Amino acid sequence: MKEVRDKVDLPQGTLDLLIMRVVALGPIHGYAIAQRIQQMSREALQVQQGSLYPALHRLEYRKLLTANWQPSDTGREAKFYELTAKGRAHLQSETEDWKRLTDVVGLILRGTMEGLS
Amino acid sequence: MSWVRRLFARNRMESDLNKELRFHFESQVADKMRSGISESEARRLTRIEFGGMEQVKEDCREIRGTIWLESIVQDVCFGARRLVRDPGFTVVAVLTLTLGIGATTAIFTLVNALLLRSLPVRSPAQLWRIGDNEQCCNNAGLPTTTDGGIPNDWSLFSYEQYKEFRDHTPGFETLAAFESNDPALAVRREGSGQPAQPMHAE
Repeated sequence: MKEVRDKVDLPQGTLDLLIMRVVALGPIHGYAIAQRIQQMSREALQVQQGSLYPALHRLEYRKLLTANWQPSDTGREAKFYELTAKGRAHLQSETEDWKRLTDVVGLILRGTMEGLS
Repeated sequence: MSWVRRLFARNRMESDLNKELRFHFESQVADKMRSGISESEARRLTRIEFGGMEQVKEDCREIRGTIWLESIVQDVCFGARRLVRDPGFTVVAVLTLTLGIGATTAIFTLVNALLLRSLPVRSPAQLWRIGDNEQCCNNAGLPTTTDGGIPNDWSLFSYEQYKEFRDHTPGFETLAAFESNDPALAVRREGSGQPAQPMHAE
């Protein structure tokens, strides 16, 4: 039961932000992105392939990411993603927007659970 | 990437997509095997976790198809918002476009009528009118002075003269003539059921 409670559903559009944040750390392939997000969220987020790859391709077509094939640590060729200049700028402004939003929502939700119990 | 290039690069993208998802799948299997699960079990588990591989591919393909439409919609929305936010600019822009299009259309109409539209015959360049005068037919005279008109004028010709020109002017393929002096005629458009209309014509 605890495991289910610990999992978090991502609000719409947030996955793109998380992916870009992870890619900003350096060239990385899809599988590693999913793992990194899982680790960084302390296992609370598990990115499914069904959402990861469409998101990656969307970001690539929007020219926020660029990709090229390189050998991975196992020797097999993998598609490595990198942030473009446009992607970097986008990530920055999106991150600021996100912080503003969570601050504001936090302000309202903070405090006692008055009226709820 | 333009949609034309995307169309041609389709096979390449399909195989890239396959390769990318396969890499993910194999990495996941390898990780599971490292934690001590047998290969067949690792593959089975990974397949379950992956859900429908075809569905994932289909979603990626769909993004390829719709992203350009999305960006057009975004551009249009952005443009519209800017126009609404700055009505002064909008008015100036619309006026500029209106005047520009209006002026261009007017000039083109003129150029079209004067320069571009040619006579409704097969080769207008070969069509000539004989005479030394802009005017023809009215207020004009014969080369001879016998009819009491303007003397020594080369804009009207007698029928005999026409026949002479027609038969002895090798520079022209053929020569046609029409009657001058606005005679009263009864005319009707070819194939028309209307009664003939009285008209003056040359």
